[in-house]
Amino acid sequence: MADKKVEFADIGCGYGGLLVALSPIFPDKLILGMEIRVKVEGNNLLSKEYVDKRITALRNQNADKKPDESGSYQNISVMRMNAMRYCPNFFEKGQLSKIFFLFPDPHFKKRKHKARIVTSTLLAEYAYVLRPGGIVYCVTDVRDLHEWMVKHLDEHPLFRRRAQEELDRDPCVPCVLQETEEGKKVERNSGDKFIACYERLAEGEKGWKGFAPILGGDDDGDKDDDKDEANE
Amino acid sequence: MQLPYHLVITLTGLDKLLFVTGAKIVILESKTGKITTISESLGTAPTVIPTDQHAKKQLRTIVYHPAKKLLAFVSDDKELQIWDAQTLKVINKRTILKRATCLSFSKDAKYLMVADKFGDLYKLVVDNPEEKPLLLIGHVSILTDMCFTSDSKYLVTSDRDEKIRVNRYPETYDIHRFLLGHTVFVSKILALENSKEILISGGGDDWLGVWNYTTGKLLQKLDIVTGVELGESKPTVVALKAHQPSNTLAVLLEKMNYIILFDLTDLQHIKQKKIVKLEREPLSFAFDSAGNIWIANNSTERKVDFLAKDKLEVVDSQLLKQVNNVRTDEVEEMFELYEIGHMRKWSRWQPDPNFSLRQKRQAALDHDIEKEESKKKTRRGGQKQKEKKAKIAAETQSTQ
Repeated sequence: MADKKVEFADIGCGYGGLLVALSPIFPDKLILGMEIRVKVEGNNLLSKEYVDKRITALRNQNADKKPDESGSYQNISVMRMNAMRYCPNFFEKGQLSKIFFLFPDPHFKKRKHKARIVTSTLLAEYAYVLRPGGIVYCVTDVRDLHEWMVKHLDEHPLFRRRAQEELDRDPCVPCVLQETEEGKKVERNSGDKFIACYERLAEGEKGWKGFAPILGGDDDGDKDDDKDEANE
Repeated sequence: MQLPYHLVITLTGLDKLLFVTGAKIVILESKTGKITTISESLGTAPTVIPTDQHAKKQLRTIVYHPAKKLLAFVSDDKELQIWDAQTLKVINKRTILKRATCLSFSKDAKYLMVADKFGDLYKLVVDNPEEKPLLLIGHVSILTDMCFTSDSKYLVTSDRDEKIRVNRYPETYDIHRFLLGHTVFVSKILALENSKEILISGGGDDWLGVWNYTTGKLLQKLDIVTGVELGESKPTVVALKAHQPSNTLAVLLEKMNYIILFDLTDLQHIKQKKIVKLEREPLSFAFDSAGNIWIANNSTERKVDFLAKDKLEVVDSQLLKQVNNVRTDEVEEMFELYEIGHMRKWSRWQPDPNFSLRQKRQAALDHDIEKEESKKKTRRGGQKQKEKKAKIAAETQSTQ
């Protein structure tokens, strides 16, 4: 286990529901959750601390199991970070085989669309840390965001959408739909859930010209300094 | 107050030097000493202009394509122009979406790359002003500089988040490598021509990075602070250029009266050649074709200094007088000439200077996250704020 590298990354892991669900299914993989939020709603603990405590409790309950045994929960962990900004500082080229974006911030305002976690340009960075054959999972309850993510992933030459038959065979799919706290909440409210899974290709098309500009609407002409602020 | 020249470039192959002052361009013909002033918007005669108006028109970035003799520049009001540098005719003129930070022509001069403050890099067709720009690259930070490698296989970009990205070209959706090692912003990058995959970078660190951009290895760190009296300030690289025929690399630091020269003869072991002390604050510099250095100063009485290549000392010349005697526009108040130093992230909130690198990084990250958090709070604060207001109202009522 000591010489292993993280292979799955759950970006915006929230309460850590997915980590806990995947841990026993993939006992030989290291899975890392990342959360930018300091706190998760309805809890006074820091998000990282909450997930940490949750993992520690599970490890203690299963202390009789060997570290590499299913259900020992020794293969999951969490860290607080800005994945959009620092992904390549944490993972090598091609290190990951799965990246999860479950119920990300929808950034409803048109001007904030550019800040969404999946954009055609940011996908280059995810493709960098993802190995060929690796999979990106996108789940949301917001139709508009789902269509946005599909559009941007479709547009990116290094990603191919996985067909329904492939999804049916994938043991991660039920987890990403049902095992997060957000997913359960949507279920309780009998809301819609949208899923899109994409495979990272080894090579993109030749003769590619460029992406369509990501416009945040016309209302942002003078908001040039937004980014400067965000960077301070 | 007369404006200084804030940018200088060499028009290789035309025997001309180009100086930018505010919104105007001054061209010096090095054979005849002839001076030509060009301005589309303000006219060529010297004028007095309100600062805010002038600042809007100021040309912040300019690039030249030596083989096709093309010139491109962007003003702060987001107007992009491409000119034929020989005839000084406008080929392409358009408004871009965001303020541009740097420009680069593709090797065949078919395309112009424009990077902006939002971290996006667009590709424009040079000879077609109607064609819509396409998005090639996006950083989650201000895109500070870009350069093509000499074989044009890669387009390298740098940002304010310590990162240098080696993108495949034209397949820029595919990142070849990240060059990681800088601890603060990167402001200038330079891929050497016909050299074994070497790229030099500088920013807010007290060294220049010498990288192999294919392997991603940091080969050498070149000290840029020893022998420089920095005082309280931190070094900020504002200009980084090389003259490869004479194996010289030169660097300017923001508000520091020096030009630091390196010897590129042995690329495996780049050594410092000389630190030349200057009398005035340099803003920009250029090597002319022969390898002499022209330095634009933040000074109105002596706008340009000249460093002869063999002596590497400041000397006088007739040509220099010509360009120094040009009457530039006057402004009521000088506008900001230094933009790069503001990119240092701990300029507004000082972390403990004794912090280790790791602590600094953590502090930066925490700061980042808290900022993000506070933004989110204000963003979806509607409901909570209403509740809070109601609560306060109830309380004040009860106390009354």
